[in-house]
Amino acid sequence: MKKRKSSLLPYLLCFPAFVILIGILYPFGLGIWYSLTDYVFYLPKVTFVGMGNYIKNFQSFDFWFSLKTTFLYVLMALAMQVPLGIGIALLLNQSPRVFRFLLPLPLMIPLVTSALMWKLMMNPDIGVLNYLLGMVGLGEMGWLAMPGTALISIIFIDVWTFTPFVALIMLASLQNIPKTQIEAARIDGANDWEIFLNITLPLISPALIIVFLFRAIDSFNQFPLIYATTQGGPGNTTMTLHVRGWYEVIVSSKIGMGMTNLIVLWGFCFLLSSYILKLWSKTVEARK
Amino acid sequence: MKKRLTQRVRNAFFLTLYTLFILFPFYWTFLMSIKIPTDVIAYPPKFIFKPTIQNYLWTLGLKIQEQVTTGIRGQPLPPEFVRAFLNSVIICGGTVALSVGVGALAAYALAKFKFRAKENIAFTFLSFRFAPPLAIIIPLYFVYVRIGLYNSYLGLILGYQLITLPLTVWLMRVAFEEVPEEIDEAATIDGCNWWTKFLKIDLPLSRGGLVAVVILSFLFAWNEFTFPLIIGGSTTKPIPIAMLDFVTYSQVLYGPMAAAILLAIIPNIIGISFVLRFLVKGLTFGAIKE
Amino acid sequence: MKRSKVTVAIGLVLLITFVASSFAFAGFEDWNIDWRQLEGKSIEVGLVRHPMTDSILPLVPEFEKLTGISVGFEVLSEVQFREKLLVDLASHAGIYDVYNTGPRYSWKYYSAGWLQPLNSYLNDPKLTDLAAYDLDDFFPLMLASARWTGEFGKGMGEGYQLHVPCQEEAYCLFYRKDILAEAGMTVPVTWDELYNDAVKLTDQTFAGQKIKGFVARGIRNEGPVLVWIGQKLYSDGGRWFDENMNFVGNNPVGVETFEWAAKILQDAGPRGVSNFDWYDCMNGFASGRYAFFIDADHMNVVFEDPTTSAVAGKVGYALCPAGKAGRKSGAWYWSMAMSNYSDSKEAAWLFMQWATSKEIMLKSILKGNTDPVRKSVNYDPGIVKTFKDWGYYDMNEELTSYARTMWPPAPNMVESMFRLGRAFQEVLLKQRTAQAALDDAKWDIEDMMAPFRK
Repeated sequence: MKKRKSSLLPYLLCFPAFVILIGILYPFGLGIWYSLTDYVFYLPKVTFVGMGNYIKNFQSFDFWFSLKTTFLYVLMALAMQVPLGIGIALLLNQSPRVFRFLLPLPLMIPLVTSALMWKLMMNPDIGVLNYLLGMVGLGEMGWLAMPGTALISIIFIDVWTFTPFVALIMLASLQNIPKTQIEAARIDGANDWEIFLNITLPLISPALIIVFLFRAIDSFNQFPLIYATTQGGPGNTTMTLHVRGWYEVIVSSKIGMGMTNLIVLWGFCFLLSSYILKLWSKTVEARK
Repeated sequence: MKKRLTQRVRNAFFLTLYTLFILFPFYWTFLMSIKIPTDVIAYPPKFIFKPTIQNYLWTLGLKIQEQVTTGIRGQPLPPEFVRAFLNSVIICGGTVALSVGVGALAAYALAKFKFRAKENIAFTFLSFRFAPPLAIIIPLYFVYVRIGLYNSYLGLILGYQLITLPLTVWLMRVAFEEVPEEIDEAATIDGCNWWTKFLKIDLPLSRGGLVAVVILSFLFAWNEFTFPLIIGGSTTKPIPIAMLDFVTYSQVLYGPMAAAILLAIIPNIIGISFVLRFLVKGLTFGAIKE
Repeated sequence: MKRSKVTVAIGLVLLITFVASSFAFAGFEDWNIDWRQLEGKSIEVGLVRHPMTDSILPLVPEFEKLTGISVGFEVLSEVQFREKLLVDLASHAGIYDVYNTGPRYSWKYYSAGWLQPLNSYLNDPKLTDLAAYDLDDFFPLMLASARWTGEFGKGMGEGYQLHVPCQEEAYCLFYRKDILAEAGMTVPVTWDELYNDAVKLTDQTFAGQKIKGFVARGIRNEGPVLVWIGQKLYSDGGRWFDENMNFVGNNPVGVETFEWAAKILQDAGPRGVSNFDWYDCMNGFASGRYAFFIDADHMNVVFEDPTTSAVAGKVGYALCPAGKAGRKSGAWYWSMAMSNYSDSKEAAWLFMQWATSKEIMLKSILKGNTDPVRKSVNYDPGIVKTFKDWGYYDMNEELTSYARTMWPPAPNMVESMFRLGRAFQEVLLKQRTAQAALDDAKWDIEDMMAPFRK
C-alpha cells in the first residue's frame, strides 16, 4: 500500500491554515512597495525610485557593518545554543523529571522584561555579575557597555533564553528513538560517542534541522532584546539590520529607506530557508 | 559498572551546572521582588536584607500607597496586572487552540500524503514567519482599524498565528514523519480511513511532539510584544505590554517588575504540567503500544 | 427656592475656598462655555505613563460627568507609546483623538499633516473660555516652544499653537550635599569647576562607598546631547545650527564641548557609562555611588524618598553650571496635541482644555506631578513649602529665565539628535576624535536637512 496519490484531500487539509496566514500578503506587499519609493512620513510627495533606495543603502558603510553584525549575531548564537541544547536534551533524556520542569523557565519571561533585568545584573558599576566576578577574582567586565563585549553579552542573554527551546524539541525527538537500537549497538561494543554519531544523530536530524531553521530566522529578526539593552550601541557595535531598519522607520521616518533593510533581511531568511529545507527533504528521504 | 557511575556523576554535574546558569537570574529576580527599591540598587549587592511583601501586594492591586514620606509624592497607579494576565490567558489559549487545530491538519497532509506542489506549500507556510514584524505592522494596523479587529481578542489571535502557525505546522510535520510508516500501512489494511488514523494512531504516537508544540507556541504567544503593542489596545493588553508599565517616566520599578515576572510564571508552570499530564495520558488511551 | 439655597451654599463654599487659598479657581460649571454641548461623543486619548498621567486618570470620571463625553484611554511607556503613535498617525487610522507629545516630535507630526493646530479652537468662544483657561498663566518660554509657524529652522514662538504643555522637564545639577561638605567644596558654578571637583572626588571614599565624581547619560540615543551636552554648548556661546540651518556643531566650540563631555565621563564617570540610560544613572546616584549628576529635575521625587534612595535628604539641587556666555538650560515639555484624523475634534479640545486647566493642574501636582507648567500652580503655598523643605532649587528662576527649547524647529530634528548621540559615543569610546566624529555627523545631518532647504 503506497501513500495516496494526489487527491483533493491534502489540499483541503492545508486550506484553513493557508487562509489564516494569507492576510499577511497585503501588508507585506505594501512593505515591498514602500522600499521602492522615497516615502518619508513628513514629506508630502511620494515618488517611485525603483532600486534607488537599495543602491543608496548598499553604498553605505554602515549597512555592510550592520549586515556583518547580523551574521555574527546569528552565527554565534546558533553555534552556542544548538550544541548546548542537544547536550542538555541528551542529559535530560536520562535524568529525573524535575529538571524538565526547570527547563522552559527562561522562555516564560517576556524578552523585553528579561532584557531589563539582565541589564541591571550586567550593570558594570552596580551590577551583581561584576560583583560576583570580582569576588572570585576574575576581574570586572564592561558587559553591554564596551564595544568589545556588547554583542557577546547580548548573545549570552539570547543563549540563556533560547537554549531551552532547542532542548525541548530535541528531547521530544529523542524520546521517539527506539531503545532497542541503542541497546543492540551497545552490545556490539559501540561507545557513547559512536552511538550518538551513528544512531541518535541521524534519527533526530530532521527535527534538528527544523530547530536550527527557526532559531536562525528568529535570530536574524531579533529586535526586542537588542533594543532594550543597548539600542544598537555602544558606537554601532550591536546595530543589526533589524535595529537599523527600526531607526530609519521610527526615528528618521524614512520608511522607504528603512524597509530596504528589512526586505534584505527577509531575502536572507528566504534563501537560507529554501536551502535548509532542501537539506531537510534529503535527510527525511534518506531515512526512509 | 564503574564506568556507569562516573558517567552518572559527570551527567549530574553538567546538568547541575546548567541548572544553576538557568536559575541564577531567577534567584536574583526573586530577591529583587522582596526588596525595597533602595536594596535593589544597593552596592555592594545585598544578599541579606529585610524582606518586604509590598511589591507583590502592589502588583496585584491589593494595596495603593498614597502619600509616602515626602508628602507630595503619590505612587504611580498600580498596573492592571490581573486584567493583563487574564487577557494573556485568553489570547494565548485561543492562539494555541487555533494553531494546533488548523496546523495539525496541514502538517498531517504534508507528512502523510503525496501531492503536487507539496514542498512549495510547505515552504510558503514557513515563509510567513520570515517577514520582520516592523515591515508589516503599519499596513496591518490600518487594515485592522478599518475592519474592526483592532483591540479585539479575535484580531490578536489571528495576528499571533503569524508567530505560532508556521511553527506548529512544521514541528507537527516532523513529529508525524517520525511515526513509522509500517504502522500507518497496517492501519490502512485494517480499513481505517485517514480521519481515524489521524486521531487514533498518528496523533497519539506523536504526542511528544504535540506536547512540545503546545508548550512552545503557548510560550511564544505569551512573550509576543510587537503585535499586541500595535494591534491590541487598552482592554486587550497582555502581560508583556503590562510589564512595561513598570518602566515609568521617572523610575524603573524593579521590585514590582520582579514580582510580576514570578507571579506570571507560576500559573505557567501549573498549566504546563497539566498539559504534560493531560496530553500524555489522554492520548495514550487507545494508542498502539510501542 | 431650594435650588437657590444650594447655589448660596455652593457660593459660600467657593468663597471660603477663595479666602483660604491664595489661588482660587472657578468651578468648571462657572466657565463661560457650555460643557455639555457635545454630550454623547466619545474620544480616545493616548498617554505616556508619567506622573501627570497617573494623577489625571483618576479625575477623568469627573470630566465625563461634567460633559457627557466618554473618554477611553491607553497608557504606554514612553518609547512604546511613540512607536504606536507613529503607526497610528502614519496609517491615518486615527484611533487617538488626543495624544501626548512635545516640541521636537510635534514639528514632525505637524509637517506630516498629522497634527491639528489649536488656534481655531482657542479662538472659538463657543468652545473656549479664554479668560478662565488663561493662556498667560503658562510659563512664557514653555508656551513659546509650543508654537511654530511651520517654517524650516525658524518661526518658533509664533504662528500655530501646536499643542498645550502639561508637564515640564528642565535639566538641573544634582549634587551630594554631604560629600561636598566633607570635601570642603562649594557647588560648582562653572563647567570647569564641575570637571575639577568631579575628578577630585573620583575614587574617594565617602560614607563607606568608593564613589565616582560625575555621571550623566552616555547611551546611544538623543538623550546625552539633549540633557547635558547641549547645555554646555549653548552656555559657551555655541550652537548646533546657524540662522540658515547649516550645521555648525563641528566648529571649535562644538568640538571642545564634545571633548569636555567625553573627558569628564572618562575621568570621573563610572565604568560602562557608555550604556547608561537615565535609569542607570539614576539608580547609581540614588544608591550613593556618584557625587554629581545632570538630568531631568523630576527625579527629585525618587531622590527625596527614603524607600527609593539611599541618599534621601543629602541631595542638593542647583541650576546647571554657567559657561563663557552665561547660563543656558534645555527643557522638554510633555504636552497634549490633537490628531488631524480625529473624528470628534471639538470634544477632544474640550478634554484638552479641561485637562490643562488651572484646577486640574493643581489637583495633579498634589498627586505627584511635581513639574508644573502653570505659574499659578508653581506658586501654590503647598508646593512652595514642599520645595523649600527639600532645599529645592529655584524652579521659577529656571523656568522663567533659562529652560527653553534650544533646538531650531525642523521636522527631522529628532533624527539629527540621534545622529549626534552616535557621534558622542564615538568620542566617548575613543574610536574617533571629536573633530572627525562631528565632521561626519555634519555630513549626515546636512543630508537629512537637504529636502527642506529650497
